[in-house]
Amino acid sequence: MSDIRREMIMFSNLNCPTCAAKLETAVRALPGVASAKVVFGAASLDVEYDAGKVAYDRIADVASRMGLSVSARVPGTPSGN
Amino acid sequence: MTTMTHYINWLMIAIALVAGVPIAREAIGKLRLKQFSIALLVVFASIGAIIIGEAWEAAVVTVLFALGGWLESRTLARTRSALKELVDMMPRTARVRRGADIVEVSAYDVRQGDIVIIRPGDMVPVDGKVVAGSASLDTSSVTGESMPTEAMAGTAVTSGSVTLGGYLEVEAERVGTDTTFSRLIYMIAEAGDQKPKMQRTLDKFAQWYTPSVITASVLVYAITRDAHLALTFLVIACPGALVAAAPVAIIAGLGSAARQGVLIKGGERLERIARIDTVAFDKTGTLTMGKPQVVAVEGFAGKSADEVLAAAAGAELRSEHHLATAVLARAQADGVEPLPALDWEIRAGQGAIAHLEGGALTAVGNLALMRSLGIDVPQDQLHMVAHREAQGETVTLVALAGEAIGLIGIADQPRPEAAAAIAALSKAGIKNVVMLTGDNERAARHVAGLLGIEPSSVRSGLMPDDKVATIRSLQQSGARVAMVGDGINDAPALAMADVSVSMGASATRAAMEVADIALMSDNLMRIPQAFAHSRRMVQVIKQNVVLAVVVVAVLLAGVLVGRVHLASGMFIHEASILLVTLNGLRLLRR
Repeated sequence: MSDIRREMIMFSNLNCPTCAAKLETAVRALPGVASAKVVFGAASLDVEYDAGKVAYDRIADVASRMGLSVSARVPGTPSGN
Repeated sequence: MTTMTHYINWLMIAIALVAGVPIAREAIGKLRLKQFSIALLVVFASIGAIIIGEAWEAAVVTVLFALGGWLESRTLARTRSALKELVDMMPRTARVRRGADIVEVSAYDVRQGDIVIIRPGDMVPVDGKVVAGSASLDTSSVTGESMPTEAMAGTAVTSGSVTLGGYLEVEAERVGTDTTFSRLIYMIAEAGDQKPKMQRTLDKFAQWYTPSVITASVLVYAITRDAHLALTFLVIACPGALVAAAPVAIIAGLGSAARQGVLIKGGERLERIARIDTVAFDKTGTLTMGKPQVVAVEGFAGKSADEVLAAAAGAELRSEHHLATAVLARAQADGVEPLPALDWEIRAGQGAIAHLEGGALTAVGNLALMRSLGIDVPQDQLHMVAHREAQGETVTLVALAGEAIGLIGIADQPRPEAAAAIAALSKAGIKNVVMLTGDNERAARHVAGLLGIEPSSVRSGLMPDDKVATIRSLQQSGARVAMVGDGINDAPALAMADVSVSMGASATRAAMEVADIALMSDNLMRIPQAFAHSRRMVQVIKQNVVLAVVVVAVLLAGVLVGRVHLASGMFIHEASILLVTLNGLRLLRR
């Protein structure tokens, strides 16, 4: 059984477009991540993942290793629904 | 003297380094993504300029380029803080009834069918239906309508509404991530992302200009074996005037607009602003004052307007209802003393009642209130009510001592300059003016008629996503749409529009910050002016770009045929920078 979740993770310091592209690629590479899109204008990452396969902490960890800090999380409705 | 030149040279190198390091970082980053940028050319040319002893050139180009980047990032920061503010507003917890207890749970743990308790001042955390209680609801964050609505058993309520008073029990229908407010936030983020994708003209230009200049200067070296000539070519090719073309015109233009209370945000949006042919207005608070006012007081059976107002004010004296505020304001403005009353009673969803000193009863409210008090409202009086309602007014009845004595019509009036501003827009080359509103059709058409907006251009009864859909369909039919709005509810439509304009003092901060154009005053005349001004700015920038490209092309040709040498080349180069700067400064004049 899969437990698909969607979240918008907002960062307080996502300022360079290059880091945004890197973050997107790195998060997409995680197993269990169905889709990841950086919304640069909103300084946030719109991500859908299977909570059974990858924990939110793994995603946050990828971001924090790139020096990004999370300022807010907004759960959303998965696009499949 | 030589030492002096020497020092200045080192100073210029230092400036070029400070301004240049972030540019180099940007250039390398973009190169990794296989993009050639102007930044890359600026870096190469600056290094070349320093090598051939023209550090001044390196300093000028890097500083101007950094200035452009700074302008852009400031705009970005504003957009972002608006979204963050909305997220911070979201209710985190909800009080729900579980069995006999009322427990506080996370807003995401409310289940469908839960009964949610909402106390005064609370934000409604779910979409649902009221099952008990009554309250005035401020729905402006979702619908943009400044007039609070009355919620009672059976009323549907939307997340994001705030109770102004009263108590509600709401049965949750849409919860957690599915609520209107939660979807609103996603909509804004998604719509906001469509803009940066439109690559700036300069970046597209750089895609072929940068590699061809670098290749060409390598070729020059390969053919002539003259490193000095190759570097001269590289430095002269650096689009100094081109780099200055936009920022100077933009700063001058934005500066003069700002002095008139028009904040045009971000240079890259100018071209979009200049191409707009359709302007969509939110009605409430934008075309209208956004504040209910008494527009008519009529007495029944020979009663004077002042008598009606005195009785109404007496009943409303202790009410905080928005209609009461309008009535009391009118009484004060007309110098009418409220009838002295002893005690007051508010009937939610109906009106207010007061016992007067002589023992008589005065009441203000709707027909339901009159009926519940056993007051008869004859047919001809009902006709008068219907007549006023047809003008888009909210009508309340006034009763004194068991008899209906008059009516008060309350409406949100158009701004005095609204009709003139709409006429000026069509003179400024805007082909179509559209009105979008969450209000009902009758009120919408009435206001449109007063302002000279075509009935076919009025869209009423819209929710935030309907507004977005309307903008999108206009765009699909080929229109370039600017949206003028003031509320959080307008934010998705503002973000979807090609250009967004927020209105002054009445604008919520969220609307102001996502806007491309923010008006500091509520003067609608500033809108046609802003469009005309943007067109002038774009014109100046285009002139500058053409001038810069022509100068660089002529100089490069001259370098290659050996007619232009570094000194004379640099002189013309700097002269062209001065010329585009002066041209840009023309925008400082009105």
